[in-house]
This record gives sequence, structure tokens and C-alpha cells, in this order.
Amino acid sequence: MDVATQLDAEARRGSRRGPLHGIPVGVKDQFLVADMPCRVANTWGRTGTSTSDAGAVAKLREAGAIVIGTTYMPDRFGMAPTRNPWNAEYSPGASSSGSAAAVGGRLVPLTLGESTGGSGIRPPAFCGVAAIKPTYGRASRRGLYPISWSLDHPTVIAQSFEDLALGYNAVAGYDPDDATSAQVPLDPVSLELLEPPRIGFVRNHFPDEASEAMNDRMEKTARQLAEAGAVVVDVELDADFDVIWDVWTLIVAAERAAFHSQHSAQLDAVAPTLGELVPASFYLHAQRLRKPLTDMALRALRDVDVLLTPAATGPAPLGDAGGDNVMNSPWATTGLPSATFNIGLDDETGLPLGAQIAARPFCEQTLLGAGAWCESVIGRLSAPSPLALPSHHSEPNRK
Amino acid sequence: MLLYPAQDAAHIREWLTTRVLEEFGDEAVGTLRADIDTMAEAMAKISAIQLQDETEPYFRGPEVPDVAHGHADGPNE
Repeated sequence: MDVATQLDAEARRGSRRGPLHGIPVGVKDQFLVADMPCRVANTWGRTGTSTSDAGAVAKLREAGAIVIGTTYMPDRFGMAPTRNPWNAEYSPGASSSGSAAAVGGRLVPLTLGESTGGSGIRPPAFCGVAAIKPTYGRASRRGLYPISWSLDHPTVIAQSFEDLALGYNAVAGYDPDDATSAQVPLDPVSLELLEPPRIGFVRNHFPDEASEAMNDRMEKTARQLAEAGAVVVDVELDADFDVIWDVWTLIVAAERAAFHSQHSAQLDAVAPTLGELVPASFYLHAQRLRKPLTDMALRALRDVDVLLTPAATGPAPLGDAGGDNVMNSPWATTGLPSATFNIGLDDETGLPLGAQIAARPFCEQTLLGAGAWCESVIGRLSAPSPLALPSHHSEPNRK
Repeated sequence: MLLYPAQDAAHIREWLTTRVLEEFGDEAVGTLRADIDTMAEAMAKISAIQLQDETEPYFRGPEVPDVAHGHADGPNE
């Protein structure tokens, strides 16, 4: 409250720290936040309160945001207490579910999430909101408690692409204290002049993993976007692209075990230790495959601005299941930027459905511009009912 | 006992199962059966993909693309 009062006073004097001046934000409990405990680190055997901000958190504060708290990150203790704001019987997604549900439930307009496989994209899709996973290296990983060093990406979650752009502009940029930060030119993203994008609708690998209802919705979405003026063309990825899910599986297992094995042994957590049995030669072969797999994705992007796929296999699952990251992990593995926008409510469950777009590296302007244009065509969801009931079948309530 | 995993899923599964048995015991083999199968399939699948010799194992993120193919934008958007 002290910070908010101070920022209010500054604003009354006509002074603003940045585009997020006075905006309350939440931060996934995986980033260090000064003077707040990092619960996920504590559960893995570390204790205490953070003394400094993670790089992305510091940038949010520099832009004027007020960090009002950390959002729940499910870990080895499971999903509760976060629930899907559209229906409490359903899951809000995986590890960034607290950040996604906080935006979806209209508790805050913007949060930080994190994506190792797809948590920064899939939970927002389940909760009916927008999100961006910037290119690997575009947003600082300093102070981000690792799951898998070479796959972890900070993400931004918001109610609209306009807000996403504000959040992205705040957190993007080179961080000399992050060894994986990219020194790549950066101009602020602007969504003032939106043009219909060229969209490559991915016709293999991804649709094989989605439900029939999700694929039907994607067809409908593609038609809507084309009728509104987008150039929508079918694209196919190389046949060998499907090895990307195996590459992700091996890398995350080995890197997770390398970081967490000591804590796992102390805490008697067996699952991560299987990663300790991945031979180094296989881990390195998986790392080497990332380059040709990225090249395959870039070939598919050759004549289009973005690739369009489902953001998840379907709507949010019942209970505590996090959902399958099969739609999202390719963009964590390649490091390409990706985003999700809502494409309406599922006919059967009444839960939000999300589409996913991916762009060329460091082309977040293209990605966010395409996402904002698609959002303007499809429409945004209104806030869910505060008392969302099971078996919710209402028609989409759009604005 | 295999000293090193062979390149097909069946042998890798056997190798992993043996390692889990040695490291964690009988119960863990049952608990981790699905994970062992997934890992064995993944290891077999990636080992079937040949790479050019110069492909390095260090992931530094994707490279900055050339501004080409008629795109008006790029890293300097």
C-alpha cells in the first residue's frame, strides 16, 4: 500500500515511472521477489525471504508496476488450492496456473509466468486469457528458480494483447547478469497499426494430438480469420519434426535431475531421479537436435508471419491434471516466441479454448501484432461468473 | 547387464530397468515403469536421427534471422 500511495502521489504530480505506473501485478512463485518468500524454492529445501528481485520482476517495477504478491506454483505437493476461474471443478493448468487463474479471475490485469514445456501458454488458454512466451534469451532468467536451464522461459499473461504488449515491453531486453540473455536489438512493440497477418495453419503433427472438437474449433477459427482478411495457408512441418517431443523429454529430465537431485534425495522424491540415468551422450544428442528442429520450423515460417496451432489438446482437464504440453513444448525446445489467444468456449464443458501462434526468433512485434489482430477478429471473453457452476453451458459472452 | 544402452527401445528399456533396479529397488521399477518406457522410446527415437558432424550441443537460443522473404519486420522491427 505504501508503494501504491507513493505512485499515486507521483502520478498526481504528473510524473510516471513507466507504462505500468501503478498497475498491480502478480508474479509466479518461481521468480525471486524482494522481501517475499519463494515458496517453490523453499519446498525444494531452501528457506528464507528473497533479498533481491529477479531480472524480469525488477523490470516490471522499473516500468511502475506494483508487485502485490506471488501466485501459486504447483510443485511436488500438487495443484490445490488454485482452481479454474470458469469452473472450480476443472484445472487451471500446470505450474503457471496461479498466474493464469489470477488474470482469468480478474484479480490482477497482468502476471509473470514461466514456460519450460508449456505452462506459460496452456494455463492462460485454459483460463481464457492471452499470454506471450518471448524468444529464449529475450527476457531475463536471472532469479528464476530453474526447472530446466535451457528450456525455461519467462512469460507474460494478461487479459488482452494490448496489455501483453505493455508487459512484454517492460520485461524484454538484455540482462548482463543472465548468461543466456540475448544482445539483440529491441524496439518497443506497438499495436497501433495492425494489418491482417499471413498465417501458416499447421496441418501435421499438432492436429494429430488434439481432440476432434479442438480441431473443429481450429478450422472454424482459421475460416473466421481468413474471412476477415488474413492470408491463411496450410503448412506442414518435416516428417522428422515429431522427434521434438522426445528431445524435450530427455533434456528436461536430465537438466531437472542435475539441479534437483540433491534436494530430491533429501526429500525422498523418486520421480526426478530417472533423469539422472539419461546417459550424457543421449542428452548431448538431444541438444544437438535442437538446431535442425529449429531450422524445420523456420522453413515452415518462410512465407508466413506466424504458425497457427491449438494451444492445448482441448479445454482444461477435470481435477488437478495439468494438461498435456504437447502443443507448447516444441516452441520451448526451439526457443521461438509463441503466444495464445482465446477462440471461444468449448461446446461441451463451457470452458475457454485457446489457439497458439509462433513466430520467427526475436520477431515479437510480428507475433504480438498478429495476436492482437486475431483477438480483434475473434473477440475477447468477458469475465467468468464469480460462481461458475459445474457443467456450465452458457453461450460465449464477448466484448 | 548391459554396460551401455543399445540403440533400440527394447534394449534401452532393459538397460534403464536394470539401472533403476540397482539404484532404487524393485518397487521403483513398478512405480517408474511408464517413465522408463517413455524415456526408452525417446532415447531410441533420437538416436535414429543422424546429424552433421559440425552440429554443436550448446543451446544458446535461436539465431537472429535474416530479414528476408519480403518480411518488412525483423529483429529491428
